[in-house]
Amino acid sequence: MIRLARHLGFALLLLAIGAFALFPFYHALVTSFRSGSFLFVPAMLPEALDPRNYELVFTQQDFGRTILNSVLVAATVTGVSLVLAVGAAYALGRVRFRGRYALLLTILGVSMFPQIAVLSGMFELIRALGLYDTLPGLMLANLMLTLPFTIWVLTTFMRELPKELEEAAYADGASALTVVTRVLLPLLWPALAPTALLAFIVSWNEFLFALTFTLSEETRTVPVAIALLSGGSRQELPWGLVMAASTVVTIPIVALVVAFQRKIVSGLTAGAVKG
Amino acid sequence: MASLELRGLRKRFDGAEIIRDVDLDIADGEFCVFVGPSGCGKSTLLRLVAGLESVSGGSIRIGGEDMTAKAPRERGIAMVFQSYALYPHMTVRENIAFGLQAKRSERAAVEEKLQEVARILELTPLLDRLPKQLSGGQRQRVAIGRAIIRAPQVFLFDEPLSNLDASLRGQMRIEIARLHQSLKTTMIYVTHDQVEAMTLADRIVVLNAGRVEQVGSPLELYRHPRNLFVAGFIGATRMNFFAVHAEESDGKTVTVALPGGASLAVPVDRASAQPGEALTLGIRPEHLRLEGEGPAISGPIEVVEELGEEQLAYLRAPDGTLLTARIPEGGRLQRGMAGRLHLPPEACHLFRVDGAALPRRG
Repeated sequence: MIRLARHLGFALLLLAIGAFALFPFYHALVTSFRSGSFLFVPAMLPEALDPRNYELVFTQQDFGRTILNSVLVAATVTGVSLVLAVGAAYALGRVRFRGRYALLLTILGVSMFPQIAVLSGMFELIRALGLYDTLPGLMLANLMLTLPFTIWVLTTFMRELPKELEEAAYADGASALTVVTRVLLPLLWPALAPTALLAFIVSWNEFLFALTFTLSEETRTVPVAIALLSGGSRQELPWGLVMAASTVVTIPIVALVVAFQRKIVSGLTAGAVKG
Repeated sequence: MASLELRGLRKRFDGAEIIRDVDLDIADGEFCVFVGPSGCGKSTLLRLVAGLESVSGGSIRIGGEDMTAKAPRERGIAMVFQSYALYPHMTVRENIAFGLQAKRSERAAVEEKLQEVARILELTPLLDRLPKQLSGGQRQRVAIGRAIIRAPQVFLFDEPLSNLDASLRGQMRIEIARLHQSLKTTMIYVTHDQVEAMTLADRIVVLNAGRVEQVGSPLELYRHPRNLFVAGFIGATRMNFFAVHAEESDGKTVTVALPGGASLAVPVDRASAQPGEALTLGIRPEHLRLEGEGPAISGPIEVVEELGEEQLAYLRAPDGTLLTARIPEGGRLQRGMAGRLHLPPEACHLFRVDGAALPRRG
């Protein structure tokens, strides 16, 4: 009886958390299929599936281009972050050198500054580099957001890998690059996949830099484009369009999570060293 | 195949001297064992030879070539680690072939060598397994296979058997000895187990606190330990020591007074001691006799360890030291009995106060 009550309580708790997490998305989904005055009907269930908003999102502006921009920026930022972070993590986690700890703290310190505090400085930097209103400029800025935590997470994981593996590879005649790419990297997979995912999401959702460092529609990314969606008149906020666009741009993230899920395998190091 | 020369080798870690001035020559094809208590620097010395640690002073020559500052892959060495250190994401085949692929060898040549190594180590049916699907002994064999496929100039073994259980260890010991006989490559083997050292080595290097205490063949170390440390370290059961005083010496023997009063004339090789000089007398447990003539030490038997084929008896000597004796048959002594152990003079060792041994004959 008590066990049943406990199970029931647990189930209710899960339900509550699930509802809290999913309701906003559900609401967006339902709203995205409504148009006109239906938008202001408080009903929980959709009356009819009206795909007009989805058409409008793509016809009113070049939303496909916007999504492509976002994918390009997020993918490049993730890729560059990982390559740099793996190298940095090897140095910070494996190589003994003076000032290693201070360097780690500095890297963590970089992520301490609020975006808004570095915004104007970053703007100057990007303009000086001639990258204003370009995607590379945005990628550079976003790296500041993703690098600190990717380096930090991978350094922690790198330290956990048995040192003998690396030494065995060196004794086997491998170069440092071979050791990192053929021995350590495959073992880092369980850490790499979620870190990459987080970096991608951070870059995908980034708004402030994208708003400030891009101007034209050709370089706009998803969050900015959605925020700048305009309705029929100045007074009208096009809820249906916003929700349709939001639903569309959720799909890549969900797809990524599903794809990476398979890669997140734990216990890969089992059998490496005894113990 | 290559010889190895270490000259004035030093290693400091954060100010602590781990290796102090080690000079050592290892001949081509020799099986050399580094042995010593934990923390004596034997593994560090091996890692210096491998190039996994950088030296703080001195030089390393392998096959006549100065390797002191070279990277591990340029030294022509292969190493087997205590923890096996197999690459967990690679199959046995990939693990063994890794070293050759790192050298960018031809695929067909790699496959041929791989098959040969797998045959020697009886790993052929296991080639496509992952390390986690192997037993401890099999993993150890893969680690050895990974080393031999590279046909190195020098093999380095860092306590390779200490993770195995006793019966497997004995078996692997024989396999390693056989491997050395067939490959005839120079091997350096680190262990804290002096049975492994005695059985495998052509030559043993006894290390203590970062210094070489003695280098010699197993029998040489057993019969002529150069000092107290080596005498105490080499031998399955530890040598007995007690403090004595010299009575007289004539260059051929040194006569000492045993605890309990008896005098013992220990044969020495051209050495003498001042009358009254404090010395340490050492005798191995297996050399003490229940029957016999000549000087003996008497006292109560405090503990008896019955091993079936032999007994370890612990006798309390009049000066308070506990003497260990190996009695070659079981059941002869019991706890509480009065014991009397004879010391054959030719089996005794004498050491001066600073630990140096008086040279022995034979």
